[in-house]
Amino acid sequence: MHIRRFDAGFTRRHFLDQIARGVVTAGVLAPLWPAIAAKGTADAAFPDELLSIEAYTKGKLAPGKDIDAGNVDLVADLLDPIQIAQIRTMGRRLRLAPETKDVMRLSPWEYMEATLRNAGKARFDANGNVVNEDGRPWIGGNPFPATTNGLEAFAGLTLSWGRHDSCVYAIKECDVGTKGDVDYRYEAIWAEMSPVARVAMDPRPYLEGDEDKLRYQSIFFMSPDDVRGGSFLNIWPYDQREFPDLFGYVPTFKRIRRYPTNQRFEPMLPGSDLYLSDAWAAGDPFLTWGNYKVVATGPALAPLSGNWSSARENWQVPTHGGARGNTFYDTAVELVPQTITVEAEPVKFPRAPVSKKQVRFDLRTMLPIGMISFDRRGDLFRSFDGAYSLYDDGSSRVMDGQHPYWSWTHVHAYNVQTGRMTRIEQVAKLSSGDRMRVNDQEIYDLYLNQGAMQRRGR
Amino acid sequence: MKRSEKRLIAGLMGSCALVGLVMPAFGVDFSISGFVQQQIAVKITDQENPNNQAGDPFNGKKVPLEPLGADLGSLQAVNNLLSSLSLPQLNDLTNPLLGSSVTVPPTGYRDVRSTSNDFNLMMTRIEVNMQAAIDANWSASATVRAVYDWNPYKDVSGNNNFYETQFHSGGGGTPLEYAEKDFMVDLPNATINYTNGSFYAKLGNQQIAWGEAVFFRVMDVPNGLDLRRHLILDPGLEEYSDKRVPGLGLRMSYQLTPDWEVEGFIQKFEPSIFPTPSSPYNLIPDQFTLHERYRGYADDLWNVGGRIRAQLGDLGLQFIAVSRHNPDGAIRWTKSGVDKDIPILPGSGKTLAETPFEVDQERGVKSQEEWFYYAGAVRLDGVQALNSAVDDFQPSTGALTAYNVGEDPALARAELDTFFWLSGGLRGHIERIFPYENVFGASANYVFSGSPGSFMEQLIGRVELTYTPNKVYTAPSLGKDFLVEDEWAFAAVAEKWYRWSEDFPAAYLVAQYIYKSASDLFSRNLQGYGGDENGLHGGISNYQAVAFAGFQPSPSLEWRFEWAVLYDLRGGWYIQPGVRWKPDDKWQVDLHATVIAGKDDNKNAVSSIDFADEISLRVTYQF
Repeated sequence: MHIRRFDAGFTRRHFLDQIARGVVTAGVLAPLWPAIAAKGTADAAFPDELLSIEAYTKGKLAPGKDIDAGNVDLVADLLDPIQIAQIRTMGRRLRLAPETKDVMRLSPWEYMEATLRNAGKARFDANGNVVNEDGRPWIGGNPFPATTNGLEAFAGLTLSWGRHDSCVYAIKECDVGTKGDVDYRYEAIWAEMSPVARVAMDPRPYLEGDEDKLRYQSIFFMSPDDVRGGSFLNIWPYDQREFPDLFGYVPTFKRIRRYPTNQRFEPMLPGSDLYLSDAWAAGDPFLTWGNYKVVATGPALAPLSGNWSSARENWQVPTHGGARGNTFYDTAVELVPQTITVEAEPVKFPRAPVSKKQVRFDLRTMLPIGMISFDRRGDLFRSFDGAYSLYDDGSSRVMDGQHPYWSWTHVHAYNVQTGRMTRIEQVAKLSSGDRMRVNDQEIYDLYLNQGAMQRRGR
Repeated sequence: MKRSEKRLIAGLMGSCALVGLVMPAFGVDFSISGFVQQQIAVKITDQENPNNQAGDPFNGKKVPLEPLGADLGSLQAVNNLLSSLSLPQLNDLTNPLLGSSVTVPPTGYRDVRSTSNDFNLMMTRIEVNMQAAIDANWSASATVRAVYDWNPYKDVSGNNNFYETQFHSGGGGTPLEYAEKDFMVDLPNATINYTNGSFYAKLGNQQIAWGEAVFFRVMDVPNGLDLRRHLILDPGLEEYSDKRVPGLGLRMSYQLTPDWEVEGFIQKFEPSIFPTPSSPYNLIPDQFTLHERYRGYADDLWNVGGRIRAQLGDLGLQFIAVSRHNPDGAIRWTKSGVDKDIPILPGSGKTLAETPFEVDQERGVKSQEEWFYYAGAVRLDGVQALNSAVDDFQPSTGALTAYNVGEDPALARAELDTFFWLSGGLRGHIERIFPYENVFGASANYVFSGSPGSFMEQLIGRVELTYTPNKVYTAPSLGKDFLVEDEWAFAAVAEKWYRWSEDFPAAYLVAQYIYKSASDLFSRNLQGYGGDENGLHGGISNYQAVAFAGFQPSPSLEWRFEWAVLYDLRGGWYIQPGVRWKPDDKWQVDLHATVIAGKDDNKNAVSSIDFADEISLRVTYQF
């Protein structure tokens, strides 16, 4: 039965009113997190029009249909301005997927389970870091589920990027020029490991002796030849007021050298439009940014499922759009009932080319579904939109322990001012033999120490 | 090339291809990549390399000789001198049988045509890199490097040798290299790697690079340098990636904790490889023949070393100890072994063969002026070099009436001119041996904190220090006993990524200082500094230089503007601006200029290569 009170436009007015009053709540019909904790879905918290794209568009759009230049106006409120421009002028298309109701399919199972288990135990200490109720580092899962506080949203995101205790992503990158050609291709391995807030790997929740660190993270460049063997290792202190330690192995130097780590707003490779600061839309310690505030709330379209297919060779995603059909990955999106858009400023980066960024979070999972940034003049600068999926397409699956692997599948990083697109995708394996791994005890030894950099260097 | 050698190279290439084809069938992940590169260096001054025959500044000059200070303007005067030396008398003043010797009036005339080169380098290189991931623990990698020089450089012979060395039977500089005059093929890397948890081992031919200072080699002690291809003139920020001489060995490391790592290696000793005679960047004057005492002398020696590294918060520490044979070696006079008579002394060849000299009227040293000029240029003492050549090869030198001149430059000039006059020109013979030494070192790096945006923010400071007790150097006299001194080497580095504006990525800036107590940037002992026509004046007390290098990338990193400036505190400049263009992932173009300037008083290190002003273009295609 359709409740008359929630007629067309109600939710839009509801969210606008909340922003105008500066009080944003998670959930429309009921508080969101209790609803999820009770049923494992957000359905009880939202009216129908926020739970189905068909209802939202009054039947004009439905799962299976494409969003393109001809119909994008129907969902303009659900996309960021750069995505809309890409659809209108660059031939980008988005395929609508059925809405995912079960929140356990929207993040790694263990992470969501820990989020449910540990809800309410997190707080900020006197230094602004997230701690458990006993004052020690966080113990796992998202510390601030369904929060509408900007700082809490970023704290939760920064504490765990990939939502796994450790993972290795095999990555292919293509950098597309303004003429639509792929000018640069790279292959890389990205590795992460959390010594705290561990939910799947023993020991849990802390790696003894490493409680003062938040993350080990490295990137190894595998191709082409001039970058092969190069690598960078970031070791993040748990204290988010501090920058990570950065070590680099540059093939020309043939040895590991220490690097400063505050230059996080420039590409690491020629032609690339990816910055260190872009990682997971929260690539910097969260206390090096500031002035967090929620500037928008409402539904959105986001690529949360159906973006992985076992039928694709090496998991590589087909492309379309741009002048040569090379610019955009085929992407499935679905309706997210409520998001918040958090704005933040790089307060500890006075020469950053970015004046602020706006990151949109799915309130059910606090997953970032898109980021746009603005230059120092306040003009639109760059966008970063990632796609996620459970690696289970019904016919085949990739396992992460007892559950199907969940992760990102592909990312677009677009510079609206230069027209250059960097797109990266997670593949099964690189030509070097390196492959995707998750919650694997070998990851630290293989990728996350200086010895690994040395032996993989050339 | 011999047939067997052709077969070796073909076999090597074929094996690599076969491995690539076969490995996937065994479930081994095999990848192959590489590049083709053309490199051209154009000279930008008229100055030729004085170490080559065609660049000798005495070419075509008639240098008056003053044998024993005598007046030799008449036949009688000449015969008087010959008589005093117990030598045969002459009938007239033009004796074609003696070639250019015993000319009257006494003249040292280098009848060698000087050339004017436009190019220093025109080299094509192919590198193929192969990696095989065998399983979780084992992997292998190999690099095949082939280099060909198109030989646009003109020296007197026209048959320049760019690559062939005395070290190995195939002409190569290392056991896994085959070289002929205009090309070389080698495996600079060929290793089997094993990893298990925190343990890692790498067995095979490999380079080992230590230390963190850019270009200044303080802790970078495991390997010598191969200077044949482009001396040290590749972009300074590339360091010595193409220069370190690989060696067969085993390198192992173990990560004790996330903060501490220990590492050790044992590696077959391989010497530094000097540019060959008549090649554009030759460093040893071609009137001297260098005998490398490696094959049969030092080709079965091994170096060992260890390193401990720690990262304690913002402070990084390294400690090293290496027991090695000095790859740069030490040089001294050696017997020429050439039985060739001084023209007016029939039968003298046998005696001369026991001395460091041979008669070389075409391309030997022709005058004391030339002798002292080159002695100073290579940081030797012209007077004492004569004395040691005399003293270390008695009684042969005595039999030729040579004698020690003490500290008297005038007497040295007279004695030298006498022999140059009598012989018509002499070639010197020298040998390089590779003494044993221990090197101990420590380094620290520290990341400074500063307010956001300030210059001190994330400034990295590094210091490196090594101590080598009883290090053996070439003596300024080229004497057999060498020079033994303790050496301290110290480098301080300040490194910063600094963003000048919001529109450009951060520029990389590095300022460095180096101090060496006993030798210079090229490991030449400092006591040989400052030589002139009067010999030496005590050398210099220490070597100090500062450098400032960096690069500024364009916003997309497609362009990179680079610079490296080194100032030798005694007056030499080495300036290298450049630009790198990478329009896509296949192509890269590098354009660099190298300008060497400053005082030419033999008191700064870089004046030794100030013939090498050039513009270098490098075009690379990757596959």
